[in-house]
Amino acid sequence: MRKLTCAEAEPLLEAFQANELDGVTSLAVQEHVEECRLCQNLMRWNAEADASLRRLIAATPAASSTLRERVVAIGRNERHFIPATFRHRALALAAAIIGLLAVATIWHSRTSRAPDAMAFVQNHIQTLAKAEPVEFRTSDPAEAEEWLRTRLPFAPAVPRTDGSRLVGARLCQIDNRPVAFLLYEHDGKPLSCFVSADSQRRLRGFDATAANRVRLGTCEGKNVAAWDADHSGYVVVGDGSRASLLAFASQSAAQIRDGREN
Amino acid sequence: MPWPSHHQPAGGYSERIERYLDPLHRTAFRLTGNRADAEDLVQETCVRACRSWTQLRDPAGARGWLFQILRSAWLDQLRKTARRPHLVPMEQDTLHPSAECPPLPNVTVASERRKLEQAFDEEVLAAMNDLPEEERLALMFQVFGDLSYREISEALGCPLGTVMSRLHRAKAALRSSLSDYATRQGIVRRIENTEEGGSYA
Repeated sequence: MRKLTCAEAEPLLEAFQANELDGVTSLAVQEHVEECRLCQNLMRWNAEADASLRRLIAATPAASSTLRERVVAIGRNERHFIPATFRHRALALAAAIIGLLAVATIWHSRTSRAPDAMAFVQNHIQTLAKAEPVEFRTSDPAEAEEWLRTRLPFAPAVPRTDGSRLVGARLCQIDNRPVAFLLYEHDGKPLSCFVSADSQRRLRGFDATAANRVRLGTCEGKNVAAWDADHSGYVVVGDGSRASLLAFASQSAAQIRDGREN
Repeated sequence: MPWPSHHQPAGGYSERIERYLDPLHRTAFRLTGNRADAEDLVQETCVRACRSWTQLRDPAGARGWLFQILRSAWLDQLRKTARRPHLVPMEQDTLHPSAECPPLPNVTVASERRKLEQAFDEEVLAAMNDLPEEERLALMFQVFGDLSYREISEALGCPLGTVMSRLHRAKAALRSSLSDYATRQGIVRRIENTEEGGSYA
């Protein structure tokens, strides 16, 4: 085996001392060092530096218990790590879906529960088909109000309008709610007026809004109008023209609201 | 030191990383110079390691891999704090003979020996902190991380020969610092004036 020169051996001294050389090279360095006082001196200085470094290791603090806990917590928290950008997008998407579901649920609950004008029109048709469409015959709105007040959990105001005549009253149920039924003769045609304690603003089947916040619609060939007044909901169904029904509805709405204010 | 094949780390991230916490922390402490920054650096290292834990195919390479992450996190931190690490270009990674040292004094008196060791420790620490960053990292990974040459080459992403030359230069700088100190203090001269193998008193 060729002997190493100092220039060759000296750069290998650190690896030699750290046992990082392969067997052949390590043996060559060892043979050189045994004969070279310069390299022996360098190794002594290296050993002195290594001793200093070992003392520094001993003087260097190990990981604290707090750090250990933090590091273990990282393992728990990052186990299902999602990159921040994706996480924010996913959260935004989830929030949007939840929002849409909430809106859809509210809309569905409102629309599915909201009574349809059709129920009033059918009741109008069925009632007029009866031999006696009213239970209490009277042309006096005050008498009709008194009769209704004793039979209903609310006190409906009975419309009094020009060009119409009250025929009588009866009680009915629409959408499982107690409703006052008033039969009028208006412009020579029968007109049914339904009064309930519920607002009619959610009632479906209307396509226009006229004066006095009266909504108008057509259902089964009958004209329908609805409005709220005096904490009650009013729906009128008539066999006459739309203009005739609107005149009754508009006048009644104004009269009841005025009466409430007075 | 790599895991022996019959004793590879089992379990998940937490169990494995706990084994390397002390060397990681000691290295980080000496890199940053204080406990708070060291803990932040180790924590950042662990966060990065945890996120890419599945990329670690060979558990035997965990130590080198973790120190590679530590180095990356440290250099990022240096960039953020605008501290410029003294990096040595690859073409300069050539072996060069170290400066010659005078004969090492053989101090045997206990009290003098303790003083000398204390002074030497301070010199070594100062010299280590003055090293170019990649040499400093190689030395710290070896000393405080207990990494083998191969693990250091993985951690630093350089060939084994480069690790050898960096560690050689680093140790030469420490030697030089110690011998300069001994010369300044007159320790060497006095030793030279004594008989060979004599003791400093």
